[in-house]
Amino acid sequence: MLINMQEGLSESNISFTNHDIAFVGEVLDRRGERAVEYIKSISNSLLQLDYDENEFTLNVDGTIINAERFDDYINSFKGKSIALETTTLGFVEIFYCCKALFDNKFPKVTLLYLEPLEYKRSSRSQIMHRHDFDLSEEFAGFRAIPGATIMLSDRYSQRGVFLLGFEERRLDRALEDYQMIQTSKSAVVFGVPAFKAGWEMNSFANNIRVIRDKKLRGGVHFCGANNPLSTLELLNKCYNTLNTDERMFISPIGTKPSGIGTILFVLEHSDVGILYDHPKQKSERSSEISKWHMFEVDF
Amino acid sequence: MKELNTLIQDVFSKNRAEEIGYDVWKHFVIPPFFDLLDIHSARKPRAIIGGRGCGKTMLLRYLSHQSMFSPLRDNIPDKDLSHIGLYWRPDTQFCNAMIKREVREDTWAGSFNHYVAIIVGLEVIRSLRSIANSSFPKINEGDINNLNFDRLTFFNPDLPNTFDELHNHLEGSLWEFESWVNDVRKKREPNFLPGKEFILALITIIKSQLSSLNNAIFFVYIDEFENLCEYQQQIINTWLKHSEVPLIFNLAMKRGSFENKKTLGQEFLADIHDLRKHDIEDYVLDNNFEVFAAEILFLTLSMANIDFQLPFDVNDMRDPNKISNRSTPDYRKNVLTVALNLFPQMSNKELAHQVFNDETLLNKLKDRLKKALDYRDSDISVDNFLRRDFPEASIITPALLYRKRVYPSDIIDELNTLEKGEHNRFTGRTGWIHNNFIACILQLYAPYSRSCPFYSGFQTFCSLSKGNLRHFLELCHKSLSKIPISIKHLPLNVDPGKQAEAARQASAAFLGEVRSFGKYGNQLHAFVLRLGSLFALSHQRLTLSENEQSHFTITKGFKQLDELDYDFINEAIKWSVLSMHTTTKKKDITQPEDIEYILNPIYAPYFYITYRKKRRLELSSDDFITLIRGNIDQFSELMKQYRRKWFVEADSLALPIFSILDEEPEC
Repeated sequence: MLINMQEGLSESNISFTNHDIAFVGEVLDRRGERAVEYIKSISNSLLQLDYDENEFTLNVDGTIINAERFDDYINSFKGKSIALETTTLGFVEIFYCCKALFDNKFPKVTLLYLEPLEYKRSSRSQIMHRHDFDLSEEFAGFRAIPGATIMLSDRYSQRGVFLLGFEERRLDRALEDYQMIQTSKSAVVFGVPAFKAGWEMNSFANNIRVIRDKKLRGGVHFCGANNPLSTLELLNKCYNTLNTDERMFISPIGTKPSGIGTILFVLEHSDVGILYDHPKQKSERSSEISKWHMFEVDF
Repeated sequence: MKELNTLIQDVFSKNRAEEIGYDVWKHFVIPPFFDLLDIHSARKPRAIIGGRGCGKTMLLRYLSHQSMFSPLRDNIPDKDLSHIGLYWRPDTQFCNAMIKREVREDTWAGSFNHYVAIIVGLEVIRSLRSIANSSFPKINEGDINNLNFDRLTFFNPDLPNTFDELHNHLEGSLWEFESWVNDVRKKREPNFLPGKEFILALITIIKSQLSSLNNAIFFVYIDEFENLCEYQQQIINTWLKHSEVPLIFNLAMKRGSFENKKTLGQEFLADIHDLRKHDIEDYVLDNNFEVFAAEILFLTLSMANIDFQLPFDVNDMRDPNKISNRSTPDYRKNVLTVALNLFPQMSNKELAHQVFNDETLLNKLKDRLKKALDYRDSDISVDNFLRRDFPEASIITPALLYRKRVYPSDIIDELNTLEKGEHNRFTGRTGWIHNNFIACILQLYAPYSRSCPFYSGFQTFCSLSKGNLRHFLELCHKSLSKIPISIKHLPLNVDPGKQAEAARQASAAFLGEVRSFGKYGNQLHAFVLRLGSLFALSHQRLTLSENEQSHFTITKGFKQLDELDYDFINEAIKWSVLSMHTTTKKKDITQPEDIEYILNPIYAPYFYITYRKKRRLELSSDDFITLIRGNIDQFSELMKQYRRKWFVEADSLALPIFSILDEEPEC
């Protein structure tokens, strides 16, 4: 698998060719709006995707289909070029798109991602809680994603890799709800370099309590918050150090590019599961746009 | 003096059952209520109920074969075979994948049966291994290796007939099953085993070949029952309803979450007829919690080789036959004395002296007196109210001065009679000191965000943790961590000021955890901040006429609570953010019951509010709705209304504890 990455301060800095089909998600803020506008301008057809974690279904432009049949649906686009607008698409939607393309042996997929310039701060006190961010509504909770399901158990050796973002409650809840997770072997990954210099402190400050209280001792790693390739490489390294009787699962609760890295890794490692909490993202969660990214994945 | 050979700060590095592992025998203090569980004679299924931190998981692990047949245990009697515990905490995110997905409901039901058959079947096999490796003399490795499982091939011809091979095969089946659940469309459906029937057959085969297991009974404990899918709960409920020797199914769950009692048939589970509920939180609180908590503390310290030269044997704590020895008044007194020495508590007089000896607090007291006298247009000097030999009385005088029915000169008269040792309203039946002292102390400390020693002391730690052993141990851990590393000798005790600091830190940390509490985590966190702030505001009333409010009732307002609001309350109870208490109005027993909601006292040090259940606040349904789902403007308005109603100084809302009000409006 090869990943060609481009980044720039505007769309003019990245060379994004026309695509036949583009999948987009729900627009929640100006950044998403801009991303969808752009991808629409360079795609012949636009389709909106929305995953329902309770029903295990995908809503494709109003048509509900079993998420596990999405590969049949994608197969009808064989021979066409596909782009994913990942600023607006959720993690699971990106997973099913990539999986369907990979399983159907599409040669490549192009992903667009726009970094935020600022995230929305929490409405709580700025002085006492300056690392708080208001990015998600309540979480549905960790629910299995068919195709990347893993059975968590403390009976067998399992190593978790948590890709962290700003919202420490996502890590906290994973460890609260699934106390069979073997924290002594679980690793955490921070997005460093962060989208913006200094933002890594938000992740450190917010997650450190949980890491300490829940005694996560499987290692601390760093890889670029906007770099799926570095996530992919890191996960490969973690995987290669597994003992013969060990299983691995990944919890991508950090940035979208790290989630993309996770998906690309899992496509090639069907024995690795994903633990995901399906956040309902808040509208207007970010303001303004920082960098534009294009990730061209050659399967 | 005895030298410490362990760093005392490290003693509590493992305070959760999950960190200890499955064999908790060495770590487990037999709780005083243990006999209520009737482990060896009851045949009725149990529902073990309790919130996080109450010791439920530890108890379940203790009841499991890994602990009961621990290699660390000597002299295991035959009767212990009458309770072979098989503990299973299902992975609920995996179980929740076993619904819908264009798979027929009966297929999912079959798959869940298969899953339980494998999981519990494996646990039966592991239990035999535990017994064989334990000091129990009648079964050894050779016995279990000679077992023949030929008859299991009726279920599946691929099942092997030897012990080790069956173990490996079932493990392989588990991976095969996981793989199928992951991809039901493309992977071959496994040959499903029938859950209960398979396990029963396995047990029957084992018992038929090992005569020493003739009277053995296997108890399956399924934890987190509330998080399973409805059909999965119904399957388990059916097994539970029809449980009989030698296989009894039992449940464990959080409080307030035993909602689904349906079985696969027309019947429902009936509480007394089909199962016996054991509320561990109630048991812990109702059975000498202080002694039990102290015992856990001392066993933990002794396991770290910190010998407190205790006047009792910690080994007795592990012995179910010694419960009665541990319930004598002398034993309890001994245990509590050592605990109180380790975490000394300040008396009210000491708390009051501390105010007089601390310039900042004394100045605050003088300032409050001056403002109160100005309010009363009195020209009596502040100094007349400051009686160094009667500091408790002096500290409550500002609150008395704000009460219109009491004249400043009356208070001076009462102080004088107090000094003369005559009958007075401070210490007499009116009980001014008794009724107001703690509230006044908290008022003095709150503005400076300083740790208040009211939150120190072993008994205070017990009150703050209110049956939550994890909270209790964390309070101890954080306090002991404040002992200077240079101190290496016993006897040890932790300065009350340091304990109070620890309590405040622990309180803030536990408050932070609320956001991870289930589906309403964020909302629960905001609710605790709001409710705590409202109680903190009530503690700032100048008159302190209704002081130490830490619980509330909901009265009728214009708006009614909707279904989601009640669901939210249930979640708050389930996660022990609130506890619920029903009372009949004492004056008239024909009146309906009141429901009181009590904020978990562990959050009290964070908000400088009382942890004692003293007075309640009556909140209208409108105000309560604002607390749980009002926007920030509505909440700020609510706080302002109460500030006016409660006669709180306008600048009080600027205190750091009310920083929640600095919020920006939500977008």
